[in-house]
Amino acid sequence: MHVCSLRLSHFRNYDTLEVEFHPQLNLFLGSNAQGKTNVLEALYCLSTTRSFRGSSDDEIVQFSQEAAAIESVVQREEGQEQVRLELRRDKPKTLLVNGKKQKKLSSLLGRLPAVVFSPDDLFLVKGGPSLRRRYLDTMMFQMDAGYLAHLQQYERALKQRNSLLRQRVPNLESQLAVWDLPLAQHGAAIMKRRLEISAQLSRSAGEALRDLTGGAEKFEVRYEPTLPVEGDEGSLEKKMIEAFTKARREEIARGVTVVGPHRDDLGLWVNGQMLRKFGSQGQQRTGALALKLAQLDILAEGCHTAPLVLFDDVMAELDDKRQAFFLNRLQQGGQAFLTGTAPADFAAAQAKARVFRVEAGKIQMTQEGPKPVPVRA
Amino acid sequence: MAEYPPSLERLLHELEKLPGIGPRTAQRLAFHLLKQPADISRALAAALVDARTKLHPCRDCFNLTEETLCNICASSNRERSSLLVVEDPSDVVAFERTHEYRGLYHVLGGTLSPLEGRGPQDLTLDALVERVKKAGSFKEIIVATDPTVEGDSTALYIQQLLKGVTVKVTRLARGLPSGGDVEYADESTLLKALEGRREL
Repeated sequence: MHVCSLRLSHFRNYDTLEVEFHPQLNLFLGSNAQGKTNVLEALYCLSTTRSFRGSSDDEIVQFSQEAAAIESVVQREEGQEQVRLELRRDKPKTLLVNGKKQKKLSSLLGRLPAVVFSPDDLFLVKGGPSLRRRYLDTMMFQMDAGYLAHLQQYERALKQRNSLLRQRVPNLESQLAVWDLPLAQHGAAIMKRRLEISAQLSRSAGEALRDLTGGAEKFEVRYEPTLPVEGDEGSLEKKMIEAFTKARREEIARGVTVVGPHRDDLGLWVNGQMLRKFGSQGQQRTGALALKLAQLDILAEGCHTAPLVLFDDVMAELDDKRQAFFLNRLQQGGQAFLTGTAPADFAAAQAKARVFRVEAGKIQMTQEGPKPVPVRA
Repeated sequence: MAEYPPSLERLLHELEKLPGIGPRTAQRLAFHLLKQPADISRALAAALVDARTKLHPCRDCFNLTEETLCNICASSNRERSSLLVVEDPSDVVAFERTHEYRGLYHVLGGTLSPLEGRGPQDLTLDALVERVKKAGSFKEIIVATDPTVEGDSTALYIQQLLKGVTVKVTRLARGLPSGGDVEYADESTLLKALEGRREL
């Protein structure tokens, strides 16, 4: 599967854009703030319905315009598919597949999986737990639509419950109880799934780190929930309700729900030491890369297709050995999109890629790239 | 930019307070009315005032009525053994259209929603419990709130309230819509449908 073409209108700094991609390697070169990342962002929107920069639709729609559109033709095994996503100010997005309006945006998820590599990945290791939860979640709901449904309902119930906790009402206990149940039901489902994926992640990221460091370091990803995840979903649900009861006094005093997957974290350990606290900058960077590589592997398996690789300004950070490693990885499958400022950083990649020059919201193809080598779909 | 005359401004202002109506729609409605004969506006105003003065909640079920009791509560043809609890009067109409349900209704006036500041005291929950206890004829209370987080929590709250009363409390089944396509159902709907499957 690959993206054949992309059309943008009123998207960020692109008035209109039409570009045809190479099925394997695409390289976007240009100075900063010319619109390189915007192309990757548009592709990521088609994959996950949202921006990887955490931007709202309002920020994405071009200044003085009401709506933006991303349209692409995707080549699948079963044929070509046209996907169009329309973004508006203050209004929900609309999704059209082959010209037909889709009821749910979420029907897009998992059809065109993508993984972004960006300099911000370092925050996956150094930043707060919410970033690691988002990393888990975006990976999960591309593979498992049920997970997204649980997460949305969990968050809704959590908001209601927290709001209730801050109100001074007479029969608080009995009112809280009716929110405890949906929280426990959806919470248990989420925690179960996160535990499973964390185990897979630990294996996958461990392998990736061994590849990156030549087998020198042992990487471990540990799921860190607010209560032990044991037994089946039913018994976990009961344990959550017990935990709510136990924490009731603290919750009322603080006005927030203190137990549940909204407080989960992923512990990252290298050679038995906590990466966030004791890792060197280099180790942390490598750890973040390993997490992203693991995401690539897991999504490829879970979505039954090689994800798009969006490589935003990362090549320059890698030494020659790693550049070669990544280039090799990229060629094993999946369509890749790389951005950078200096052509010199892409010496090895350039010969194999279609190259585009990006300048002030205009894109020009400067090299068509080699005839595509057939790879596994 | 020229301003509208005060009376028009006021009309627009009032229209914009209505749900789903923004400045543009308000303008369209106002100009449409002003283009029509004055009788049309008069009829609309009269209908609004009339509805507002005559309608009030039914004494027993809180559905809208012009009498003390709504025609369902007042009817001698309804079964007094089952009570269907709904969020809004429009839900009553929806169930009546099925011509299948013959019991009585109880209109809650919404769901619990702390975010919107709606607690049990803002719904007709106390009246519901009192009604069930006093009547003594109900064998089944069917909770038909929406299948949302809020609807489910409200259903749960009703179940709690009725714990001491010897009556069966049930919740509407959820699953696939008829005429729908299994392929296009979302996962949570499919899961619920699978849970609620029945032997053929």
